[in-house]
Amino acid sequence: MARSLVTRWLCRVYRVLLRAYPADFRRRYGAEMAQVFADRCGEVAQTQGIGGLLRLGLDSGADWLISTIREGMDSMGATSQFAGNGVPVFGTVESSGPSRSALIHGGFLSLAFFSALVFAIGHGGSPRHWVLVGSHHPSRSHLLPVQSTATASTELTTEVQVRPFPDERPISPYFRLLAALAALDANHDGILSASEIANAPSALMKLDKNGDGKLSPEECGLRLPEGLNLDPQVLKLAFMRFHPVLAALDGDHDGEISWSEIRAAPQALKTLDRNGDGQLTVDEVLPDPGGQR
Amino acid sequence: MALPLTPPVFHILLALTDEERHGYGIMQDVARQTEGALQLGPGTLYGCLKRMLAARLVAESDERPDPALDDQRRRYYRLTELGRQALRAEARRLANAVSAARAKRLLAEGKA
Repeated sequence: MARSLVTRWLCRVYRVLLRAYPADFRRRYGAEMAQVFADRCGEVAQTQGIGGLLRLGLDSGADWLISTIREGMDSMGATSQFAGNGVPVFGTVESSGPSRSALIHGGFLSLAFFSALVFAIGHGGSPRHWVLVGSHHPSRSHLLPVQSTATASTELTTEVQVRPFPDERPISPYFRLLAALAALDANHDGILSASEIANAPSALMKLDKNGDGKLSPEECGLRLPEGLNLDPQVLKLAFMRFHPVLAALDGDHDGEISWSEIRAAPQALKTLDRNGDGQLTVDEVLPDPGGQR
Repeated sequence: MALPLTPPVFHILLALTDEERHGYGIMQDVARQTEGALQLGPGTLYGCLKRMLAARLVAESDERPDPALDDQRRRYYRLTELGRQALRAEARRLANAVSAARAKRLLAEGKA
């Protein structure tokens, strides 16, 4: 009972799998292959039982996979062999067109997919930011004179709005290059928000690789070039003073950010907030080569 | 279809040497020849038959051995003269290879 059930099920699955072969091959050999498979299933069911049937199913699955690929490639090769003279052509596995029912199913599927896509775009979780990228108002002062009799019958009052892509402004590479800034900018959006400023001590402590309770210039992101004939101490001090964030954090300007300075980081960072909006943007933390800051 | 023949093609030709066979008959005979070492799946079997028909190594048989006892849907295949020559050439090549292996003492005398 169980054997005949498994046999019937395997044969049904195999008949479905036959559809993966190219149409010409399937039309010519499909019925024979299904019959041969059914004969083999019957024999195995008699001699080896359900275990043998399952093994046969696995073996036939591997055989199906390899032979569908090979026949598909053969079919494509047969299509393209008529190209000649080295001109590349596109071939299709199927020599016949899709059936009407397949076109109808495909149409419904496409419609459902695009409806879902439009719904997802329209009702997505991210906030919408609309940006005005162009406009036209009834004014002739900005128009260039043209030699033409074709004039618009009416004035246009059109505004074009598109959603920016990507949603957020581009993140300054400076936020990635300076280890201290990268650590402070927890959500990597290129802005040190009020909450990130408030959490600055814990973020900075993650940079303390040697666990000595303070941050050296190297831990803040300094990479000393080799073969440079300059005093490393001078370079370290220059590094800590060059970057406004580090200069603000290093309150006593000794070239290191001590434990007490780490704890006082929120207050120190707030001194860089020139516009008083409670957050630090890239223009507020970028070094000023002219020393005007 | 050039020499050397692939193992499935060689054994399918060998299966058709004595008599015309349908697909399942070929599959059973190949398994018998190889003592179960080569079990052809339907995809491999009919893929090979397709290429062998194109290369004229085998042909579809017009007559059925016993129509009264057999399923009408089955197709029978027979060896062509070209197929027989190819099989003979491949068998000779394999025999030479076995002789060479024996000469190098890789195989015991009288055993494959």
